[in-house]
Amino acid sequence: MKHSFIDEYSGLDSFVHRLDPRTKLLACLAFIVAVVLTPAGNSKIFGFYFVLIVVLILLSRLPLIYVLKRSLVIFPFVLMVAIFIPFFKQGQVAGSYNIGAWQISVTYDGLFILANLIIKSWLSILSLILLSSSTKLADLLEGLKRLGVPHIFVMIISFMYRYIFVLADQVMRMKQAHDSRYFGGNYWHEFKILGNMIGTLFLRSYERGERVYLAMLARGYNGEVPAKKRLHYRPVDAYFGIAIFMLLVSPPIIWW
Amino acid sequence: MTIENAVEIRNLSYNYPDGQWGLRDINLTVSAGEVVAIIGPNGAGKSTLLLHLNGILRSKSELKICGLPVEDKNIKEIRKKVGMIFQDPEDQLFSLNVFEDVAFGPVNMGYEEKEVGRRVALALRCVGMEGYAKRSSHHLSIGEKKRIAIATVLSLDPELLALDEPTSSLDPRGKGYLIELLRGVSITRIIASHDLELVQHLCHRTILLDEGRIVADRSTGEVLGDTDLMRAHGLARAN
Repeated sequence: MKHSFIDEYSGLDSFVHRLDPRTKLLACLAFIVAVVLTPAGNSKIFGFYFVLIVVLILLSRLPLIYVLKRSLVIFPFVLMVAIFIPFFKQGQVAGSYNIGAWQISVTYDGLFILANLIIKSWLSILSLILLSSSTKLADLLEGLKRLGVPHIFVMIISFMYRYIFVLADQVMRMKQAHDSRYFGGNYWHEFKILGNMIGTLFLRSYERGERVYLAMLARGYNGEVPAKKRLHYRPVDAYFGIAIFMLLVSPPIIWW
Repeated sequence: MTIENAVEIRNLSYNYPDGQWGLRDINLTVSAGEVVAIIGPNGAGKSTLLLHLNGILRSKSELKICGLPVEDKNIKEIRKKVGMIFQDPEDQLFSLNVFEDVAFGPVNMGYEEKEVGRRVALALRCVGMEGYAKRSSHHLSIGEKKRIAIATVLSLDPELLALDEPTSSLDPRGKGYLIELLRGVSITRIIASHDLELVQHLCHRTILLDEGRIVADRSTGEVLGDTDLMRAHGLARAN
């Protein structure tokens, strides 16, 4: 089975791709912190950050369309969390509707907060996409390890990445097996089958986890993996880090 | 100097934690350099027996691997000496790329980076997969995965290879490759399988296991030639 990988474009070669993963991780984190800390409604600062991230994406030679498409995944999550804010926030009413006995009103303040949330999360996801598409996952994990993230978390991410496609294959085969014997039925019954499938998948993953652990034990695993691959921190990483830091800090100083 | 037996098992019985029996009263000696097949129908206890060879499963019995009793203090040494290859290579190849998978054992054993690299290169050459180090395991064919799985234990320079169904789900050509590959390795091999073609081509001695007991332990030709025996234990078709 051929699947597109999370780090599909990480094999490209560009200035951004060649940076040390630690530099990129820290820069990405700093970018997100800066975006989140920017007070609502500061459109100039947001605009500046947007231009910054777009420039970096262009520098990394990632297809812009691909990045934009990927970034859309954030919206369902943001909307799920924030969609009710405009209805509950007190303030000047932008519009109100009567649904049965209820009166529902949307306020400008609420809409303003929602818009800010969307902008902030979108900018953040753009930087994360840039990070994950310009760094091989193995390097990213090595970077996390070197930055002091506990070994167990790094390992969990590594297994997730390794087995997510095995799981996807399993789901696909289960679905094919189901469809081959499915001749239409009621909706409720379908839900029950879906529940069973998810349960089966969980059990299989659990058992696979145990077998993988056995395979690790058999090769001398004892809970720790000594660090192996060396990452190379070059002067260009320092230049990039300083530049990013200055670019992130200067707009609030200028426009605040 | 006496050559140690690769495997010495005295009175091994094992029950699964849920109370289901696994192995009953197993006595087995394998000399260094032997190629032994463990055959038997599904659920006979073949895999369970293999898992005892490197101390992953343990029970009250006298078990010696390459001269070392299976005890906590020897476990690291034993796991280095026993290369265990699991049936599903998807379980064995859990790293992000082939190099890391093959390097996993040597790294755990605490070898220097240079030595790890040397061992990985050597192991990959042994299985004819040079140039695959940077590939991601998920995108390999099943035959390639099986060979990399063998490389992951060869990199530890083991004295004993324990293989669980090495030819399952391989096409005839892949199976041919694998048989040749296993023939080319000169260390002791214990192969659990019900692929009789593999057994015939590779193993001098065959142990027939059924319901957790050793039913027969003779030369491969004798066991496979005994049609009544094979039929009685589900290894040949009834007629």
